[in-house]
Amino acid sequence: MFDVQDNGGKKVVFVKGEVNAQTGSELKKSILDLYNSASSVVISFKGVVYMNSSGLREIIDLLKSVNKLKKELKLCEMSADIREMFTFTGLDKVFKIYDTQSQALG
Amino acid sequence: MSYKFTRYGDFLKILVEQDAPFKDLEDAARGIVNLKDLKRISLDLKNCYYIQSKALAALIAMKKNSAKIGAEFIVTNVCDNIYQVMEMANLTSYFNIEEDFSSYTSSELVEKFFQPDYADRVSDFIAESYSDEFRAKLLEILEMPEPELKFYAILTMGKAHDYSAEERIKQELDSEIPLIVQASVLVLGWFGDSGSKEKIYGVLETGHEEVAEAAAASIALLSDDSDAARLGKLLTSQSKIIRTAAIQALTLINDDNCFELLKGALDNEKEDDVKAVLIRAISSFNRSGVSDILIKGLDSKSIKIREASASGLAKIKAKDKLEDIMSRITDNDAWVGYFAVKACGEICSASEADRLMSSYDKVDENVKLAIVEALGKIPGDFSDFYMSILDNGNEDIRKEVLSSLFHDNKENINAVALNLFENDSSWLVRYKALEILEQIRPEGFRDMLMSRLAVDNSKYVKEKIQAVLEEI
Repeated sequence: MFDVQDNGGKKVVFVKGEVNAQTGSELKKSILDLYNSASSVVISFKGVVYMNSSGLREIIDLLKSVNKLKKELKLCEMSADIREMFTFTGLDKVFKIYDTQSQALG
Repeated sequence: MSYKFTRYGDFLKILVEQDAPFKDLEDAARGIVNLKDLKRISLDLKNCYYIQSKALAALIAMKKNSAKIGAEFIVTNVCDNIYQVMEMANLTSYFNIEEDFSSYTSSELVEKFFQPDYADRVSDFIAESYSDEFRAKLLEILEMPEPELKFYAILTMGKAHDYSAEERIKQELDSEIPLIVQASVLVLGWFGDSGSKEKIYGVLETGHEEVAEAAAASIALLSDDSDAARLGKLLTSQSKIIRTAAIQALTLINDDNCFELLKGALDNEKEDDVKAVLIRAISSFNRSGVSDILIKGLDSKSIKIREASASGLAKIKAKDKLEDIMSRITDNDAWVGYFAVKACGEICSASEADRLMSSYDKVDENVKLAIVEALGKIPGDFSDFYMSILDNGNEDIRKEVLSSLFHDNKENINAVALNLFENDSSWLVRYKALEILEQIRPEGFRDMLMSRLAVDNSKYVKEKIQAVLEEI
């Protein structure tokens, strides 16, 4: 469902396929584990084909947990549709969203 | 002394008072060289609304003296007046100019919520640096009458995940001001406050455009298994705004129930613009049968529905329907052809592009232009085709061909762009040719520009020539 790359201490998570309640929950748990060895995680949505509100809810939950840990979560490489979901729900104001992976890492 | 040095480790902030005498600024510049172990020096002009031009010399001295001790020098919180003075002195690129909200008090910061240029960035800054002081200030704002301040205060508490403010934010759902209700609805959705869902349905059902979308978004975020059916009932509402909001919520929830409800609504919906919203919504579902619905939409009498269907087919990259789409390129209705070509631009590979090129002579002007635009999106070299249609009578097509040719084949473009820049009757095409030549910079470019400046009859082309000449 996703691959992880280590990029100078920052982890980049490449999510693939659908993000729904089930896959989103697994994604959240796995990403939270990554914070044991990283202070910052970037999620790339380049390979995400579909996402629904349940998946979005899991991403919000992930951010809440990350903020409690006082660590950093960034999102990047969203398709126009996924970006529109964040804009429509106002969550583009809540998350740090970047067009490219290099901007998110920079 | 009208300036103050404050040191934070290897960072020095120089805060200047309003109307600081230029001699004081010179004094501050001299003071820098005596400092050690600094990496960054910031001159903060947040209190200054004007600067004498001779004071700029002191700023230059500060930068030079910072360099002498190995520190980066930046100027922060520069107001428009001072920026203009710097601009007139050609100093805006000489200095690193940044924003530093940490210099402001919480009261000064929230005042910036009134300024649209600043409000979002200030809100982000407060959320990132959230403290009890900021929290108290934002709660204070909620007791004030200004809607803009309250709107940003609520959003900022939401961004900061301040759950302790949840009950207070809930009260604002009863506000008579849509802007405030909108912010409250969104934040309660982010907070996952299912207890407010009933009230948010109430907000959606008022049918106020400003808040219905926010309510749809939050209902989707707070949804459980019962919401699809409830939203489905709203698809038959008398209000177009409520129907549209329900479609948006169902699209976000995006499960099998929602898909069936939206498909059913498409059969019953009477208004074309809502049907177009439904088509777009359906194209967001990863379900079988979507491409069939979109293909059917391409034959609709409504241009909005055809457009939504074509963009949906492009979005889902409906390769399985490519033949169906291509067969519509030469449709009697040029708009059907136009949207079919638009979809092809996103779906076709280079080998399938032949069909687009061979259709070119059989279609109307708007479809011709769409073909050139679509080819520009398909990876491959179509320069032979572009060269064959460069004499088209439509200036938009010639302009688009020029762009595509530049993209596909750098060998041909020089001679073509030179020819069109000097001889094309359309200023739009000459302007585009000049933009391309500006990037290529052929031999003798400057002389050619000088001679064209004398004879070109378009003020836009002349202005562009002058700008390029200044640059080179």
